[in-house]
Amino acid sequence: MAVSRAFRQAMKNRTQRSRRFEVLFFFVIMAMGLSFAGQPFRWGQSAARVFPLIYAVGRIFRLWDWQRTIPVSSLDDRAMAEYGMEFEKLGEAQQKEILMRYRVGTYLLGYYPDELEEAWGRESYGRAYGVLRWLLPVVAVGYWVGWWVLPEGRVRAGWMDGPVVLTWVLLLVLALPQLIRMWTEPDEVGEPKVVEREA
Amino acid sequence: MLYNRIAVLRSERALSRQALAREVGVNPQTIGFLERGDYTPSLELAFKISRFFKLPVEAVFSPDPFRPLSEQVYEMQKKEA
Repeated sequence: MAVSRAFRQAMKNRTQRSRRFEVLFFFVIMAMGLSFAGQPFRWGQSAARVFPLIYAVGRIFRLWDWQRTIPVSSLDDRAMAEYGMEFEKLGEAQQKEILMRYRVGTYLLGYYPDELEEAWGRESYGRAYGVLRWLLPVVAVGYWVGWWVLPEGRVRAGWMDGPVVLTWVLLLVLALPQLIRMWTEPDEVGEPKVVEREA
Repeated sequence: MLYNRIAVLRSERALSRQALAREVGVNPQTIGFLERGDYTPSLELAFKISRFFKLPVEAVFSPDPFRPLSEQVYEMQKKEA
């Protein structure tokens, strides 16, 4: 029961809705990180400052990881993924090897980088470049305008906090292709029932 | 958009996505996305799939929507008769 629940959760994590939620959450965390810009550094607040940065970097790596993983729900699935045939049809040595390593019902294996992966990867990089081509000049112009018009105070100090703003831009540039992919990629489709029964 | 008959051909042969994916060297999810029309395959993959089903590529893929196979077969039989 725990196994099937874990598998369902793994599949749920791959739905477009949950992926979009993760994308939005990423931006919320990034905004939290920006809110600390311009404040004088105090050791007591360092955790709150560093947390969004660590979280954002962690998300970027997890997005890459997400792209390369595939949920495996049973011994048969794992045998299929590793040897291309059902568990029962494997040799004794292969079965033993799988049984030794099969600990949890849901297991994440390396995702096979096929042409679909590569095509969607290329497409997301292209789209990200298209967005950044207008977004980065807007940020740069906004930065100069802010420097020119913002009155002295906390907002101006935050706006002029170069390291924080630069870090934010860098993280956005690094993460954007993956975020676009998570936002646009459709849900996986299940096997039609009639084929499942006959196969 | 490129239409295809992969789902029908697979169903006729009682073939799982996993089995077809293994034969043509892609992820099972890729077959799913192809069947749903979410992805247009490369020429290489289109030929691999057609070759696997032992059919000409235009019988499996088409830029126009396919008519049901049963309808086509019925018309062919009618012409022959």
